[in-house]
Amino acid sequence: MPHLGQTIYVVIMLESIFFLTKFAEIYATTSGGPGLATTNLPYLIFLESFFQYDIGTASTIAIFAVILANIVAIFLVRFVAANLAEGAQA
Amino acid sequence: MRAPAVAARSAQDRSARRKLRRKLGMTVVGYVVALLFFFPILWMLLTAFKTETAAFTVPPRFWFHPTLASFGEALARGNYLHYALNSLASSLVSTGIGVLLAVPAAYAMAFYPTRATDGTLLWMISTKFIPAVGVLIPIFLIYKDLSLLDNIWGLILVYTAMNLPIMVWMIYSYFKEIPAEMHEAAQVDGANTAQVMARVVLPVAIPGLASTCLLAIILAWNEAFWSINLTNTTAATLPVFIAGFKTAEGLFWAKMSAASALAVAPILIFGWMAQRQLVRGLTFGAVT
Repeated sequence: MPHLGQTIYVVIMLESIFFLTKFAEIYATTSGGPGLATTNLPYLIFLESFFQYDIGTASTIAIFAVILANIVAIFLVRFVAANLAEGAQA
Repeated sequence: MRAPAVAARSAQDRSARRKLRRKLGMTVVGYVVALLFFFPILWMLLTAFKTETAAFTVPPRFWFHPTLASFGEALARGNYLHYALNSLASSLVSTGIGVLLAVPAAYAMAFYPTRATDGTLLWMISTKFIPAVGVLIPIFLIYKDLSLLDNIWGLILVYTAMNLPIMVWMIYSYFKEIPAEMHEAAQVDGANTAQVMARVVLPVAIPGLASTCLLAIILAWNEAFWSINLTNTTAATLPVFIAGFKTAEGLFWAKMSAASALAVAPILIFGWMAQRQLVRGLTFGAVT
């Protein structure tokens, strides 16, 4: 397990980012409904831009989505960077 | 004198049996986990052979009269071949362009690293961490002005950009495994960069390149977000075909499952054929 720790860390981080950006599954099954019950940020952006034609609001939400993902990504990038530096020394 | 030996043997027996039992247990657990992972695909296939009403029964049924009706309806409603050809073209062409761009990039970074190399690699992969929706609206608006919407080349462009960081990273790690001595020896023999690349580096890295291309093709084939948003009919790929069966009213699960089965079948068969290559490539690259 100690050896797997790093791998598990990376997998958890990557998966959280991927799940933050799920879109096709929602589009193909529930379309974000009933109401907005199964709408996540990506789908909300899609609705705002292509159904409400409100590009401004959609862009604003998109910025929030990017920030949210970046909060997770920062940890991941730091970790990968540390590993890269380590690998270069070895 | 005898008793301890017997006891020892029975103890040995017991431990052997315990080991066997544990092995059996692990095998069972392995199969259960495999089934768990496979279940959604199995369920999709089962649903595809049901009628619409049978697909909707509660509790769901495992035993039913298989029928090809859903496949017939799915094929009748959309031009499957048109979507499949778009999928094929977009995944193959984007992978081809991607590998042409990724090999030189990875070559430079693997064999002539500078202080900027780590940062560049990191920056490349970090673009994959941005949710694609974040750039959906800008790309959509730009594509609208360039009339690339519903255009297969627009899709290919996005797919290439989407897969390029992964391809560079994978090829970089394969190149890293090639001993620098081999590279140097070729240079000492008077080979120029193009010759080193063509005669030394690429032949050694062919398995790695192949698995990189396989992965890129699979990723592009399964891509749904961009194809749903940027294409409509002309350049639409198979995910659009699947999503087209979603309706606000009426039952569509069986038809959609049949469409999904038709959409995943080619890539699944392709994956099975390439499985050994793929697994080998993935583990080979992971060591660095």
